[in-house]
Amino acid sequence: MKDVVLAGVGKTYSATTGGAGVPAVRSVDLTIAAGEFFVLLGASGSGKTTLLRCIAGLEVITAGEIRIGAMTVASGNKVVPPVRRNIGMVFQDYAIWPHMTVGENVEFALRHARSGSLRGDAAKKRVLEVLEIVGLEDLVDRGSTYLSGGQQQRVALARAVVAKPDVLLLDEPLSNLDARLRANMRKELRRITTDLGVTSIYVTHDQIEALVMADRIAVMRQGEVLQIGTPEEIYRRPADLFVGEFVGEANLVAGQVVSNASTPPDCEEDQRFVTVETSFGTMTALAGTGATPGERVRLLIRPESLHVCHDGSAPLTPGWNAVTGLVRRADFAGAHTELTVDVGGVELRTQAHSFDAVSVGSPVTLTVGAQWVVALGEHAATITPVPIDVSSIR
Amino acid sequence: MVLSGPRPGTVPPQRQLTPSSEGRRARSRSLSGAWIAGIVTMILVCVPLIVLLWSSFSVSKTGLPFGAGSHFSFSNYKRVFTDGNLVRPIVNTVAFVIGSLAVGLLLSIGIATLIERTSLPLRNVIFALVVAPVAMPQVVAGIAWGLLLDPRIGLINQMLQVIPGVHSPGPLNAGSLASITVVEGFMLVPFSLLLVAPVVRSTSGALEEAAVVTGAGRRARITKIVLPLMAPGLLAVLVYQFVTAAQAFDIPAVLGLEKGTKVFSTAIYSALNPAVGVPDYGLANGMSVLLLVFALIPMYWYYRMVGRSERFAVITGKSYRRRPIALHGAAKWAAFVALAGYVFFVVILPLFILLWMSVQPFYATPSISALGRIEFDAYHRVFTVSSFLSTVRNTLILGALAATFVCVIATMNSWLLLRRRGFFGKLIDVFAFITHGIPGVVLGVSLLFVSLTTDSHFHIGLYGSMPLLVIGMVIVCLGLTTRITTAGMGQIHRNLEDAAEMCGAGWIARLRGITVPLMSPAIANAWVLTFAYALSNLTLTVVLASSKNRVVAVELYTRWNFGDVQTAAALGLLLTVVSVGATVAARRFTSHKEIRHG
Repeated sequence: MKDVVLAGVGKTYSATTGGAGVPAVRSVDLTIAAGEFFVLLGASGSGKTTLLRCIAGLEVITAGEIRIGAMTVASGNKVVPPVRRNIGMVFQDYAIWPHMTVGENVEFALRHARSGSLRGDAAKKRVLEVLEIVGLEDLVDRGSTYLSGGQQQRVALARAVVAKPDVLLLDEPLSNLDARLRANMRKELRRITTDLGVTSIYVTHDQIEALVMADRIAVMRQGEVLQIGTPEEIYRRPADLFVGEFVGEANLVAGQVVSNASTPPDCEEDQRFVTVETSFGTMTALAGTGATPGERVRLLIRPESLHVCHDGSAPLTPGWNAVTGLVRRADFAGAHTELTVDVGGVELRTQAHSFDAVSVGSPVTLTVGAQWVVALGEHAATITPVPIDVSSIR
Repeated sequence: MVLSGPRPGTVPPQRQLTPSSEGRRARSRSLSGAWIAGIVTMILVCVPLIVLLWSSFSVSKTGLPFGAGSHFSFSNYKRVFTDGNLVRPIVNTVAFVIGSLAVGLLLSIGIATLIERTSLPLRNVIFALVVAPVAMPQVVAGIAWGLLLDPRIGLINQMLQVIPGVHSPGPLNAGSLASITVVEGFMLVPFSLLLVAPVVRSTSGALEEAAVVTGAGRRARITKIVLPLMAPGLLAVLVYQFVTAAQAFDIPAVLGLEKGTKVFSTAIYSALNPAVGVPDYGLANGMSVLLLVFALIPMYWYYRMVGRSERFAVITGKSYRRRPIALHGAAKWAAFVALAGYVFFVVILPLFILLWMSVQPFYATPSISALGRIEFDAYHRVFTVSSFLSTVRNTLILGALAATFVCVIATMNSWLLLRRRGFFGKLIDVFAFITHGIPGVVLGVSLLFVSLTTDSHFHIGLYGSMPLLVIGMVIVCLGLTTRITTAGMGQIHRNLEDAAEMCGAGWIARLRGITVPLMSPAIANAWVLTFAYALSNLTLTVVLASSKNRVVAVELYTRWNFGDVQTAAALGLLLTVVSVGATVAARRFTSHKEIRHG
């Protein structure tokens, strides 16, 4: 178990026909604690896989430095090859060697391990031990082409951890599995990495996966890290509109910051609040990036943070915002009903318990705590075209 | 550049200027073994050619290059251009190349069109039969045609002599330029058909759309759509086969040399092995340089045209819907008879005459009475006489060693090309490709000079030795083998190797544990094809022949020239069986492995 530190890491691919290269990763600073489960989240082309491959040593960085524990593995003139970094890696397509059995796949990794290779019975014992952890001990002699996707995924994991690596890298390991298996494997993977106590860096484009699994998340776009935080921080207090929209559903309401506001009760003192003028009245909101008096902002409100009260009988909690509107749509979705509420010409999405009878056209009051409304400057709302992730098309 | 400003612990900015080359250097240290193979490739290609060029400007009293008192001179070239005997081979070569290309390609296009675009019966069987001779050694085919076209006793001539007014000898003459040209054209057909058939097939879908959408007439469709579409593919085949025809040796040597009909390649050989007198090294040398240029220029053009060498085959993976041309009644039967006739005369008859001759004590037209004279003495001799056995052993050793070495080097070259993807990798690819354009005779002459040079300076006994033959065969096969291994390695996803690297496996362990096992079908295929090729090769083996390194192809050629037709026919048949068997085995092995890994 070792920590991983990235300082100013950049990776620029050389252009094929002269001219400037393509920057895939730009000046990334990260400190990943020992034993942490860290997720790199981003759309395809955001540079997350490239960054992971840089940590692995499969790509050579062009700026900055990478440290694993006390060892500097990459910095300018010094590059430690992957074989000496003591890293385990699970690939997106699993990369199971088709000419070997399950046991042989795992044993290959053990045989070439940096940390003193095991032989003979000790090796066999260790292979079985690891296969037991991933629940494949019965398939040790199975040819690896006769495995289901989920089983291949487990073999890849067993192979990556058999030599007790300091760091485990996972490149979208669940993206090729079907939805139900994926949900199971999330918990399974977290259990295994926690049991092993290995520092894990996990790449995904799936925000649910990131929120469910991560200790901390780094959201990436165009090779840059936009925000680093716990899942809750990322979800509740996104640094900008891109992160806010990327990690979950959001209502975005246009407005203008009127003034700073006092901190409402039961909110943390160090947080700054602002009063925002919108088309349906003023709201108190947590001040995000670029929310200073006079600036145009968007209010980001998660659908589930809006409380729905019928016939205006809501007991208004001090410091909470309250708006009234008419239900435009009510879509039954099993556990809950998805509501679209027209508030002064602005449509807000929210949810009600599916046993609550909410009829279309009826008036409702929506209340939301000030700390669940985030005012974000509009400048970051324009999404520029994403460059192609060179490593993904190879 | 979007790189950040200075931070604690980051590298100084000037190191960021050449990011990718730095990356390559960093990851290349562990690949020294592959680099050695790359350097070996360059040495194998460059050294013989440099020695050839260098010695072409060197003249000495002994006639040997680098001999005592040798000095710089253009006299070798002067002699090439002034010697009256050389005009004839040059004119012959031009006629031979143009004629054989015309025969070979027109036949291939015709056969491909009938097979790919019509609904003739037995199309697939005919296709297999037309392609099958690709595995037949050309020296054996040459002997068979020599037997069929002999002006007095040739089977085809005897058939033609039934026609009133046609008398023996003739009308056809095995040793004439026309015969050599047409037979060489037949030799070009199998491989040309393999290249042309996909071109013909792939145009049918486009043709269909054009016809439906524009309603263009048949002639307009062919001239405006089909031909332009096929042109690049056909041009590639034309240029490729041009090089093949320009360096062709076996057919002109077996049929024409004894009768005095010489093309460039056989003229070089006869300068080295004159019927009377001493070898004229200087003349052979100068002519070799000319033939090399003659063959390499179109090769360069071809390389530019097809881009990367592994894309040489025009075959695409796409499946096109067939749109058969309907043939009815007489046209259908005429087409079928034409195809069947080709198969009978060009594929079956040569094999039959070899079989017949191998069991007859002297030449006799196949007849009931001749059946009574059938004997198997020739086969008995092959398997019992010790000189034959050592020849067979030499041949097998040559094939096995050359195939093994070439597979190792080709696999390393593919690794350099695909995994390193640097300038050096591309350079190696070009070098491996060039070997295809070096005429066998020229390579033979080059290696002859290399061995004469090394032996006169270091006394290592390379001249006329088995190792020299193996080296030559490795060079000759490097181009084809590298393409096969590159295609095989290209199908292995890079992640499989990266995964092994992440497990801590060094490059040798990765290559041995992951890459080579996964591409073993391609390597096995390359091995067997090289083995079969080395068995069949006459050009290199005869130019470098000595009593120490005698192989079956040379034995065949010698027996044929001495008039021992029975033994030559028996040996030729056996060689054909081994060669065809190996080729079939390669295909079996390949498909079997693919299913297992499926």
